Amino acid sequence: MTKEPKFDYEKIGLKFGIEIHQRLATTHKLFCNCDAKISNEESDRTVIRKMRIVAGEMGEIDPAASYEFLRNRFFVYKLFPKTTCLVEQDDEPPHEINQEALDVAMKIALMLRCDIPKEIQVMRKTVIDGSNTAGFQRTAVVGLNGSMRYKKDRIRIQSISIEEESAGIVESDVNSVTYRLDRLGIPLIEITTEALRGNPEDAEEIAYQIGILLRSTGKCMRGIGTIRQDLNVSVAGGDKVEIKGVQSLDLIQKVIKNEASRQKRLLEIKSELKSRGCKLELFERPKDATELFAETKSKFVQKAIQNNDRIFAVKLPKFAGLLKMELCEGKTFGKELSEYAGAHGAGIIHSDEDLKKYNLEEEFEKLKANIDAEEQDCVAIVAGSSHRANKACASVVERCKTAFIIGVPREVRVSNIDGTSKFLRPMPGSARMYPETDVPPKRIDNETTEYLKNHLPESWDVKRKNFLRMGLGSDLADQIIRSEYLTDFENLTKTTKVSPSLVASVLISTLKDLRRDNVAVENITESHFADIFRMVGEKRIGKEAIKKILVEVSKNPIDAVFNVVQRLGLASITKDELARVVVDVIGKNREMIRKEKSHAAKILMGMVMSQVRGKIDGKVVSDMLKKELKKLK
Amino acid sequence: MYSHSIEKILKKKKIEPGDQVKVTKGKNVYTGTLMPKPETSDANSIILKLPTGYNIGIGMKFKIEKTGGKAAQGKLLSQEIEFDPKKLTIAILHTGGTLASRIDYRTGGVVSAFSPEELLGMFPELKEIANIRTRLVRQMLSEDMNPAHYQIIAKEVAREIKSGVDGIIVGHGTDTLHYTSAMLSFMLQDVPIPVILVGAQRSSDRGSSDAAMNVICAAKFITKTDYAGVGICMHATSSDEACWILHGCKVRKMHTSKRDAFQPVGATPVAKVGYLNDEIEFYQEYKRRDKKRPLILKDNIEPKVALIKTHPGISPRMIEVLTQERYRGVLLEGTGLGHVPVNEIDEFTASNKRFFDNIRRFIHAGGVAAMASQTIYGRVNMNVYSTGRDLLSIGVVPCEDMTPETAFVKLMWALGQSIDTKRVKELMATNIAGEISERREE
Repeated sequence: MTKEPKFDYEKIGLKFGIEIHQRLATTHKLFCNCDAKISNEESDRTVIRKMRIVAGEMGEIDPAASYEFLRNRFFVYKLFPKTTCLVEQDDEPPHEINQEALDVAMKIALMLRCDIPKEIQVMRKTVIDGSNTAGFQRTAVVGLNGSMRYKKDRIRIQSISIEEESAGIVESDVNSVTYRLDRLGIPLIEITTEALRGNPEDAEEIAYQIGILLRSTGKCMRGIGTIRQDLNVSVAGGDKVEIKGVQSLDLIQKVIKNEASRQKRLLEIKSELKSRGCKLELFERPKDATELFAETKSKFVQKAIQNNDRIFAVKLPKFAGLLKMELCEGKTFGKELSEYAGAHGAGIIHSDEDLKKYNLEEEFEKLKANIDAEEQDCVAIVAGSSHRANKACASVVERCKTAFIIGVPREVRVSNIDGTSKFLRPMPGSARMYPETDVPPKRIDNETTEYLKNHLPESWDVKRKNFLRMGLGSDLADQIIRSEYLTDFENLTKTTKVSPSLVASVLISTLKDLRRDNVAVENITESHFADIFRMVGEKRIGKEAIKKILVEVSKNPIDAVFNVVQRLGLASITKDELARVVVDVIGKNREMIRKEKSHAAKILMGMVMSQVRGKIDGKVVSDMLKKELKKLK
Repeated sequence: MYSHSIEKILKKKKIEPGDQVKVTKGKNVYTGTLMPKPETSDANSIILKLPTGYNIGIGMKFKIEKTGGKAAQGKLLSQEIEFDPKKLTIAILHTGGTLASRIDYRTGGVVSAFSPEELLGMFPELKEIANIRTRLVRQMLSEDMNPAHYQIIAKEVAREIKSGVDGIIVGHGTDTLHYTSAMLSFMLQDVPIPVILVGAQRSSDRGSSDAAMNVICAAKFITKTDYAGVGICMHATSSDEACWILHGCKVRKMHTSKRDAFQPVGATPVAKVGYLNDEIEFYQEYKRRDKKRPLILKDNIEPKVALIKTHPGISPRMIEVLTQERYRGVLLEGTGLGHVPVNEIDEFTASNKRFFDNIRRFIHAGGVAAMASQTIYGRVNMNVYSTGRDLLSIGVVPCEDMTPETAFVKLMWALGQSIDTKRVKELMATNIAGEISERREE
């Protein structure tokens, strides 16, 4: 069992900033006229690209870009009908910025009391990991210096930007990455808070409240991946570390706690190294030590040598024992080093591990003598092709140097699903920003802002009052407000005639049940719900059938609800048809009716319902049954 | 740049673009770098680069203070150049274009920039392939080119050939790249080495630029084959997998923005050069390299040549003006098999007759009129319809299967070779540089 680290967060100087990215549900993408949605069709073509490093507007090169360029990978892009065009393919310049998306972004900026810049300048944010075909992400600030209420304080909102969603990753290896381009260019709104002090619990609640505010615009996409949180975390003495891609709100606390712990432990490692007398001069370059392993019994190393790989070795001065140190739950410093080596496609084994497991005890003894490693030193080997192994080993040394000199490196990490994080790339600087020369700056006049100000969505407490007035219980009203189905609820209650409570309970309770049964509810769209509720409203299906239909729709989202209802045999029957069933059942059970007398009605009801469940309201059945039984007497 | 009132404030406070500044507007304080201002955007707001790298516009009225000098300008990667006697030597002549371009603060769009050294700094792989020397010929976008520039480029190429280089890469804007490649094909006869023109469809200031691959493939092609001749090296498909080497006369820009905009017209590509691998495949016979073969430089041209695309309702004045202005040649970009409107059918087509007469007058006055087709693909044949026969009868020269651009450039060149129109017509009908295919399979 791993126990959660316990800290007095005020004392260790925890600071966190939240960046929320929400995909917008606009008709078109941000800079072209493709449908802004994930394609449900097969990809029909691919293009292959390589990215290069380029200098920023001020002439400098971004460290993150430089890191990716050294990895020298190529990228495969999958293209789709209707959702990708030459713009995503980076074979046509961007069109003008999507006004629908810009309006939503400015509304959000106004709701968060931001200043709107007089001119919106689209910028290129250098990203050469292939997630943008252009080599940059287009982004523009639409609001600055905002604030929102949280508990008794006002939290500062640093900025609000509108940007292009990146391409979705399909698969990757050390040589290449495959992306799908349907996601690229969907409008994304980014909200950045300033660095806040508080407990990790606060971070989750703040993110929650921003989410509610975003959804109140009615222009947010929902489903997995449509909202992502990035967290900037630091503790006193540590440094700002950006953790990207926190996929769910309930992970936020855990990620912050883990990162706080990681930074504290890294600082402990730093001071331990100092007290052991570590010096910068003690760090050496990696050496090719393949010869030492010529007669190894280790399967792992044998296999590497058979592949013509090389074994590079290096001494990590004064690090003995430190690689075993747990930084946060389930994650040692050694594991962290292996991620640096892994980024170059190479594996690492070190003397803080159980070498017996690898059958490498003897070789490591020889190695220690060979590279003059002392008791307090740790020794690590990296296996891979000559070029890769050398680079990977060098990056392990660099990381160890940083552990000694700085303690906590400023870097970008990516969140794992267990709440730990993994090194992604060095922290990009302002050098990564360059004006988008293909899109002229857009002037924002006062009339536009005034118009938007007068058309802001209702605040959530106004919404809540409305929902209560509609007949929702206060629990259900709260759940709907916090739900990602808020917009669907508002639209469905306007377009269909069923009771708002039924809509709310389907969107909250029924979907919750289905999710628990692993039904792919993300496939069910608002228009599916609209069709179902319309049929319920017209009494063509009973509300008991809703769950069954939803299960089927989730499996075949392209199929029309009407067809699903037909196929499941759930289409309602007419009163005449019901009468025929009732008469038939009564006719076959005369004997039983005579015997059971007053109980008979209940038994008959069960028999009839087994034939017509979901096809007609139960009340209608029982009325008709009573009527027909009366005729018998 | 900035409006007069903003300039006044900046001048008074001795603030220049690039300085670190603090700007106070109402309650808000912004710090950052003052950026130069594109002329096309609102002159009454200043552009500030925030520490996050974002640029924002701040409108009047604001208070501005200088907090520091110019931020340290990062150096663009410049390369030390060492000579390796084992490698071939390539000269890169740069004329401008997207191949090396950066933001232009006048318009906010993109302009040609960078010295050839910086170009090499951007593509460090080149020095692994060959010894590279670079020269800046011009810094211009190719739509601005004038026939005189063809002569300048040809002379520069001749100079490099004389100095003994093994191949030449000409960096060039893409808009009129195929005009230049055709013209060089005519001017540089018996060229002993490869002269490869290269451009880019995505500017070199972005990670996805196609510039590097096009230049690197051209260098590979020069060093790994014994080809001699004028060609274009650009993306074969939208993918960064391989480049075409295209015959200088049989190529055209066929797309406004795609990487594979340059495609062969009426010919196969000369070769394909792999980028991710080193494979080179030839699809055509070619002249071998022989550095001892003397170059015959025929760079005389006649710039007074017009390219007229005919269209329904074209005014006869279009030709009349050329005669008055003493133009020496006109390339008619006709329709179909090589037609222009010449027949009078009813009261609306009276001008057609005059159009025909004006062509005749142009030819009588000593001009040469030649015909290529706006269909781009296929050969002109002016014997099939009487329209064509009428035009032939007054002396219009059919240009076989040349693209209109190649035919236009050739007419300029041919008129530069002789003042005798008969000789010019002969040259037009003769295959000089592979511009005419004797047979076409498509």
